[in-house]
Amino acid sequence: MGPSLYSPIAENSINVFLLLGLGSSVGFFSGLCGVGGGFLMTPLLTMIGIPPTIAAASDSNQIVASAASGTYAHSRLGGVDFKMGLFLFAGGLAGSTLGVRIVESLRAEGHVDFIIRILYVVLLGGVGAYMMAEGVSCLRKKAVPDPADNISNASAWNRFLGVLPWPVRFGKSGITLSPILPLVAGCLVGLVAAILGVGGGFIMLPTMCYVLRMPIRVVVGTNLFQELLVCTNVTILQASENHTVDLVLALTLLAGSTVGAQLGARLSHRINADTLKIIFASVVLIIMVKIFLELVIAPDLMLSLKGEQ
Amino acid sequence: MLCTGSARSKVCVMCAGFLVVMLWSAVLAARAELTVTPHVVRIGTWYDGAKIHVRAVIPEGCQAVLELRGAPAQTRLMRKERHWGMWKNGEEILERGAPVLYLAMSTDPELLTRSKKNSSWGYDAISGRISFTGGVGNIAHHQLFDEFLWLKENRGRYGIFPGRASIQVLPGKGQLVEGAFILPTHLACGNYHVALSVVKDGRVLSKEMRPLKVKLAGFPAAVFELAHRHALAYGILAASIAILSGFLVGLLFHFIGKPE
Repeated sequence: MGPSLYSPIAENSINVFLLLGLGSSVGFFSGLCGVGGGFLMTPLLTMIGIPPTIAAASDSNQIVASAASGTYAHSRLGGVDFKMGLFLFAGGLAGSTLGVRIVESLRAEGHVDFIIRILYVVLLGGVGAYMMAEGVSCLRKKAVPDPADNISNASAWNRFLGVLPWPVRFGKSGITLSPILPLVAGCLVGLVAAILGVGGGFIMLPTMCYVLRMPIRVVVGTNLFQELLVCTNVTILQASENHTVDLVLALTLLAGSTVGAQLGARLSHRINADTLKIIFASVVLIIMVKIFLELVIAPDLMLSLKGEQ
Repeated sequence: MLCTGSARSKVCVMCAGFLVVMLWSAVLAARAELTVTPHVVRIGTWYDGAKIHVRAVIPEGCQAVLELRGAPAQTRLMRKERHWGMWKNGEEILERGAPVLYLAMSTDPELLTRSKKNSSWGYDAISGRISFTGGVGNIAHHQLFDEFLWLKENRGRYGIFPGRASIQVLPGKGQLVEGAFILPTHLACGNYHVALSVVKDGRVLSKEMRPLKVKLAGFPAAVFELAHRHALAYGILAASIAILSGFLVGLLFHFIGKPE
């Protein structure tokens, strides 16, 4: 069985090896597949008996560490657009503050965990299905879509970007853009991060590539930088207003996930990328199905304590 | 007449005195010794539940019920309702009067069998004291109470163990009753108590109680104190530790030449 650690905020003791195993497994998958693990960690913590609000807030704290580690590595290689990151953070600050307020009011109503579960079903279902489809199509070497459509869409979008007011030059990314777009994108990601306890990279990365037209060499590093700032804000807000950050839980997860991420990154060079995507998508879809079944199958317990679903 | 009346009242007083002495001696004879170890449970970093040993000496021919209970509290409950094919929480139900923790065991299994009669212990006793208000609707009290018990048992907060306490005759000294309560891992700090009821022929002869204190200690106590009393400082500390450890891990793996 092994020793158990008492989480004073969750008021529960959890097996240390289970927590380290969860941290290293999610970290391993993150390192292996190049995606953030926040959207996996929170539902897994809920499954082992951590109340969802505490799981989400403590996971945000854990993401701060992995984002700090990643930002450091990418900044050494010149892959972080700090100016763009600060604009995204400004939007993220508003979004995450709003998200924490929403969590607070939903918590008072007793519906927060229901909303979190539904959002997770949508989120995990979307990400899992997308990755599975992409992995399978790449393995079958399906024909790529007609590039002519992309070109016409791209030029229409570029015209729209040109119309927006107050253009600002982002030297590191090599683009000139109205700050409205990064502010709005940051706000949406911050909102999702606060409610779900995720970094938001799965939304931010495609937004940076396809909406903000940033070059791929600065996308990952800048995303990590804004994740670092947004999740730091979420951690401080959740701790000061909702008392839901469990430092013991976050530190144990962090110890596992940082090591797991490094091991995953090493292994990723030896395994076919599309196979990895299918493995990851399968894990994501299994968790999504479990959460979905919990929502639709009649529960064993008709009563629950307020604050848990 | 006066003399006769006075003699009668003297006889009455003597009879009453005799009865009091008889009853008092019966109570003294039924009095039990109760020891609880430990009487203070400290929840430290490695807390994983705790075993509370209860030991009592009771008079011969008696049976015993041991209870471990927390203070009565208000609990905000949510009852599941089905909406659009999904189960979600309905209106809030406020429960009053039930202890936060209730564990009971007996020497005789019959003593803890639910009978729906008013009893001094067990779930029947809690059922008489508990009330549900708020979004109760048309749900019957007994149904809500049963659902409440399932919730509490599922969380390890309630448990009934008929016949789990051992009993053995001590030569010339009555009977020794022993039992062990397992405190759940999901436990809140506070004041609890252990009660012993000595029972003979369905009648409670005596009741003894000992306090049991549960408190946070060491690192969990410091974290809890900081998180609730200095919440902003705690949040800044949590974020700072995460940033620092993230940079240190990045630096470490950079120096040992492994991929980030």
